[in-house]
Amino acid sequence: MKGIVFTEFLDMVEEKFSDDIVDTIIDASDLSTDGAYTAVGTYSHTEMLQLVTHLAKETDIEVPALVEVFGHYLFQRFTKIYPMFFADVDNSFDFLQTVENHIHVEVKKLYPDAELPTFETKMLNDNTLELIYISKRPFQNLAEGMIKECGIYYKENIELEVEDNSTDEGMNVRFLITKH
Amino acid sequence: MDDLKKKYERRVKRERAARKEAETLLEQKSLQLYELNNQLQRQADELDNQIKLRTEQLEIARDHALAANKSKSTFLASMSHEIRTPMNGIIGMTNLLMESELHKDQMRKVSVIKNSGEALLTIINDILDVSKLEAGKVELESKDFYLHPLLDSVTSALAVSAADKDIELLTLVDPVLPIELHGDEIRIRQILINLIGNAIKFTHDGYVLLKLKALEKENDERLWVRFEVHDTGVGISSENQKKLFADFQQLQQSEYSGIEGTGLGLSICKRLATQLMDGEIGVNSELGKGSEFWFELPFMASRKPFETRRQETTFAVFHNRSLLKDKYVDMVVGMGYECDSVATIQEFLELSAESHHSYLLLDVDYLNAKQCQLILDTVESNPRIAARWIGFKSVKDMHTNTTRIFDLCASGEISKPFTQFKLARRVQSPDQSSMMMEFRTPEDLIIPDTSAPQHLTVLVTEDNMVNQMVIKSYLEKEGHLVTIANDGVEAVELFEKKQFDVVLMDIQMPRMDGVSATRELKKIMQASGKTVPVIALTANAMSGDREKFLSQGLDDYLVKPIVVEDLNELLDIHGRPKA
Repeated sequence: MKGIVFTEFLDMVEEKFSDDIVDTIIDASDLSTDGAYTAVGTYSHTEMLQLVTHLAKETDIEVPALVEVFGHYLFQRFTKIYPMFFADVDNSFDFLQTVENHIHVEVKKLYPDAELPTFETKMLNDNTLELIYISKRPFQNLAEGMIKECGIYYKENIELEVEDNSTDEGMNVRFLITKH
Repeated sequence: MDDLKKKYERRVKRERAARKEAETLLEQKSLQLYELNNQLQRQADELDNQIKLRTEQLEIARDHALAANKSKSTFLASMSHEIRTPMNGIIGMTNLLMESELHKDQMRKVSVIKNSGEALLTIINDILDVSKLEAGKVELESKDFYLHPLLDSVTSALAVSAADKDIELLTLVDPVLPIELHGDEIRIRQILINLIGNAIKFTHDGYVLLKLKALEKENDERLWVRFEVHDTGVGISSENQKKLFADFQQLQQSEYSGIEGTGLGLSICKRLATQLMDGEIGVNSELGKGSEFWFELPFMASRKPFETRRQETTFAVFHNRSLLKDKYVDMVVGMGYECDSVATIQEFLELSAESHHSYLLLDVDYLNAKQCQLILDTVESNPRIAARWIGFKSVKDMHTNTTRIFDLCASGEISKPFTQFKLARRVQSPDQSSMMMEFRTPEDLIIPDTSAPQHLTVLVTEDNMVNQMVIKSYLEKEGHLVTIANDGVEAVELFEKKQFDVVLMDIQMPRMDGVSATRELKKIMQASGKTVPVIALTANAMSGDREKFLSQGLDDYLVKPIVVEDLNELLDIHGRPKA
């Protein structure tokens, strides 16, 4: 998992909760670098799971909810850190369709070894986009939060229908996104 | 405490901001690197493509060039072949015309025709040789041959050209060389004729010396022979030497103006010596100081090893030109004899009166009138003085007095070019036979068959009318009876009806070709029990053709244009009644 997800996550915890909680969840987790992350590094996704689990304990909020909130946060941050990906796009469907074939391609240029999830998209009609999230890691809530934040970013009223088809082999979640 | 905390918070903030900036920078740099890497990759791919494209273009160009060269060779070969056939007629008929009654002016004109025809034929043969060599169609014949008769025949063939220019043609052979070698005599002859012929062309005064040496090469068990052709001619600049052996190169040097040729001779020599015979060829020369053309060939180890000679025979040489006298002394010493160089004609006559030398050698061509008179006067008073003289003279017409002196030479006369082999045969007597082993050849090689010529009935199968006339005239001149068949079919019909001693068979003919016709003739012979030799007439003179024809049932072959001597020799061999 890319380091930026970790640094942004810890920033969020500090911002939304407190720097003490950051220290607490880092201390509680068994982390390879003792919690010193850099955006350009790569770390095991199990560290993220540990941090989220401990955050849930500290805050009494369910893990899925926390992860979805983080999805919202991360999307907002991306719009600030990587404005070029949003420059020529003016609606959520178009944007979501660029993720797989544009954004991920750019990421691969910088990090050829990055293991990215795939987002298969298909316009079912003018108002409905099907997006299938396939990953080896259980971060469908992160994806859900980001998709929702995307609608907010483009000031659209979108609704999500989630269908989890995951197996032991990996995650496979179908999002049906409807614009109203 | 709060102040301290705030201070640390500010520091942490700064550090974090610095980290983020560093991360951003790193991403930017990574992206630049990625782009540059991509650019390099694209350039490398482009270069790669260009190389592939160029390689393809070069391959195509090379294939074109090869194909063009091949068609050029094929074209030249077939053109030469086509030209040779009518040339056969022109030269043959000219020969016949020259034998008829012509007045002087007509004879002169006919000679010009003949010379021009022969010159043209030489050029065509050169071109044909080059084409065949280029096409890799020339094969070597490997046979035992005697070295000295080869050298004699080469120098004799060029005797007239040398004599016309008053140039001495000399041969000096390393005595350790075996008398018999194993190799392609014809090709060696071709190179020698070419090199010596060139040397004569470019020499206006002095001599052309053919020198043979035995060589030993490191890690090579074969016997190497170095052939050198020295001349005292115009020489060649070092710049021109580089161009010499290339195709169609004629040197643009004022000294060479007026010399004709195709410029193919040396290129042919080079291919023959290097490509075909695994040898080397080269030149040493300096402008104005003469040239040495040389080639070195490997031979299988000698079959007749060198034998030491007894050195009882002694010689003395007189020659008016000291340059040439030295060469003659070298030649005699090279044979293993003692030889004295004589300074004046007076001394020569004095030595002749004594009995110190076994033989006294005299080049009569160079004697002046005063010397001639002195010799004639001395001999008149004492005829025995000339008993041990061996004279040599040019093939050209001579002054009366020199002819008289030449006739006086009681121990022998040698027609130039003087060779060691000729001298050896002259001084050799039965009791000395063991002495001259190295310079002897088997009798059958040099003594022609003297049995009376036979009159044969000959069936000539030939579709070309001019060729028919030429061959018929040649044969009838020798007293043979000639019947002409226009093609294979006619030949078979005639052969069934009449008895023939020999059949001459053209190969390429309409209706039925020579090979098929021969097959038919052989069937008839089998039925009748009488064997008649069939000799192929062909313009395809390639090495290996002989074997091809022989395997197809023919008994021998003659190359067109037909040379009278070859024709007579073949008839002599095949016309003889079988024992």
